[in-house]
Amino acid sequence: MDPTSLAIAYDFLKKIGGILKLRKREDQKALKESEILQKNLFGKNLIIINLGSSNEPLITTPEKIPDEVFERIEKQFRKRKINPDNESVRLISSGFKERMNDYKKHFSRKFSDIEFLSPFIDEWYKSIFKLSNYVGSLLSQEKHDEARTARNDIEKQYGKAGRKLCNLYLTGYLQKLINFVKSEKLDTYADKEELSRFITRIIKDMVEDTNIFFIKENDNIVRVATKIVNLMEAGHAYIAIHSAGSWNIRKAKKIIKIVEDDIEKYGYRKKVDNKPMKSSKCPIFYVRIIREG
Amino acid sequence: MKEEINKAGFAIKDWDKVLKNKRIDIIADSKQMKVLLKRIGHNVDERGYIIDAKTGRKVKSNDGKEIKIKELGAVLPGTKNFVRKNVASFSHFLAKHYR
Repeated sequence: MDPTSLAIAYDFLKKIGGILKLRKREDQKALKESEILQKNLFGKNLIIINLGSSNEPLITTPEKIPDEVFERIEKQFRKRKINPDNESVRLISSGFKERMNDYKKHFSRKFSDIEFLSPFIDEWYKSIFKLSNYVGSLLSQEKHDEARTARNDIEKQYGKAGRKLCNLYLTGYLQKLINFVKSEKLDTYADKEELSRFITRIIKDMVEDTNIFFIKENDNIVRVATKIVNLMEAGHAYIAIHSAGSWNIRKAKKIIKIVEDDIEKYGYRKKVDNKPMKSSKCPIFYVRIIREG
Repeated sequence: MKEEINKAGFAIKDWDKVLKNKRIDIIADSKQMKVLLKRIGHNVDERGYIIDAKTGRKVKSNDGKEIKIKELGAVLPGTKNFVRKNVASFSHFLAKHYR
């Protein structure tokens, strides 16, 4: 069928409102017009073009696209720094554009927890946390299949560590980290680089194991010590204890003293990082209890 | 060339107008994508991997791994941004370019 006849047929069908009804079954969600065009009506050689922010499809065939369009794409390849909202030609696989638009809207929103951490974490962690937030949003809308797909996508891109971070984000561990940084005013007193290293280390701890204690003013020393012993008894590979400020560090040291004998008894060793943050008025104390063997 | 393009009919009559747009999205299935990739110097090998037509080397997605045509989600601006057909790969692209 030649393009002119196709165009006439399309025009006619659009007028009679037939396009959107053609393949609609009760058990099928309404398809976007562009997807219907591509999949159902006009055979396999047609291409959809969207201009600007419009979703209204224009139709052409690959051969009809002028060289200038491809020259623009090749020019884009050479640019290291780009602003995706500016001039761009994008090749998009059919069916993916909607997912891109949906996710882009979510990504562009500001979430206070991620915004707080953004200056201190690299872009990959930011991406993982934004994705995790997206998964949470899908779950809250009861879009469980989409949430599952997004979680699987996180693992495909970032491995098991990414998936773990997503789970930790959804169960509130990131918020614990933020509360810790804020309560000790580390963001106020420490310089950015040093705080970045500190926060990144804690995030890596989160990936390795979820047994992280942030010692705070209202923590009960005996209760925390008991929890640590229980974890060692249960054979957890890795336990981390973070504290900042002389008062909390004293507490943390008391906790370690209580569990010292159990560390040996259950076959663990202790690794202490006592280096204060140089740029901060606030000293930090970090202990890892690691299972031997 | 312009006359031939105008003959295509209703859909795109004036490519000059199209080319004036800052953002142009070209949406295609795998088969058409092969044709489009060819025009930007890329082919698909016998196992379905996207390769650089000049060097024959497999291109990598933004996760550092080789990518097949059926896995391709989009070709986006920037240093050869071949994004996979999943939101995480797209998120990685956004995180890199949106500060």
